[in-house]
Amino acid sequence: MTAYSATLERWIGGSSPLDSLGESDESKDIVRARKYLLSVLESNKQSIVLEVLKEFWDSSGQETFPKELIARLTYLEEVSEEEYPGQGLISEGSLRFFLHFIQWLTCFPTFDYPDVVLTPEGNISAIWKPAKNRYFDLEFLKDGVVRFAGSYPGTKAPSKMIRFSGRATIDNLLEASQFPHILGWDRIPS
Amino acid sequence: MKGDLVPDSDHIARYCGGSSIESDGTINRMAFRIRNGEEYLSVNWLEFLNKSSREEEIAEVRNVLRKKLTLGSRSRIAVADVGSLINHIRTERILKVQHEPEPEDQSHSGIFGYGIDDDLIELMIAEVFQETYSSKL
Repeated sequence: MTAYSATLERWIGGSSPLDSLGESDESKDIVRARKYLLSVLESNKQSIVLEVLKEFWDSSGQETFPKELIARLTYLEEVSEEEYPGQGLISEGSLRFFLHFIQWLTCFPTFDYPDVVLTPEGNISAIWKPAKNRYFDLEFLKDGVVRFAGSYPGTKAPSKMIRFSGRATIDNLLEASQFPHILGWDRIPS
Repeated sequence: MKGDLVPDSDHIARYCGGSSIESDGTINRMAFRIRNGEEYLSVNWLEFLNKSSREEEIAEVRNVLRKKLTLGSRSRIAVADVGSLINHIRTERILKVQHEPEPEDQSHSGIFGYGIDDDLIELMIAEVFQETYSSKL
């Protein structure tokens, strides 16, 4: 067992910073995520996704990514290894940018974790579909810029979809866009 | 023949890698992004194959793709009719679907008229490719 795995096991088996979160569904999800991550780490599998997640865990001292998100990212890594043998597809820079964004996202009182796909360039694209006719995605580029696209029904003519797309720094996008409204998040974090 | 327009009434199929498919099975717009250096999006013209059913057409597309690509176990083949595709996007862009046969892939065709940065067009194309099949049996 590696030192890191031992640390994980100690956290999972003993007193954890997450204990203070009580027995909410969210804390259970996060503890399950740790157990999942530990099991994969012990399989000695080479994985950019897990290596980067380990770094985030080490630097923050706590885990903020639920099992479903970790499982989805590792799934995409496996799929890309299968389809692009020997090279894979996931961009490490895009993955780091995405995970930083997810950490920040928890500031929203009613945020939802996104689904994730990969772009042909290997970038992470996060997807939210809060309703059947609402869609928003963010592609995390290597240089800290995002590409985005979305659609939602117009208020005056709901049968007509409003579609939009663009490219911006994430700060400018949050300042200028209405995507929290589109996604149903009720307020910007203070 | 190379350069012929694929008729509006005909259908085209697009290979969609597993990493571009959402958790609920929806084909994401990333499956329709043109890669750097490509002039058009590669598709296969199904009626050109002269088969008697959609299943036979897809089986033939699988055979052809298998020679060109590593088909992922989670990948899909998405199908759309050309007329619906062009009409859906007409307000934003005039697309055309053109026959681009290759020696080992005679039904090979391309969607022309958009580029690598056209996020909105990718999104609208994905809205049309609703019919999907497994790319592996």
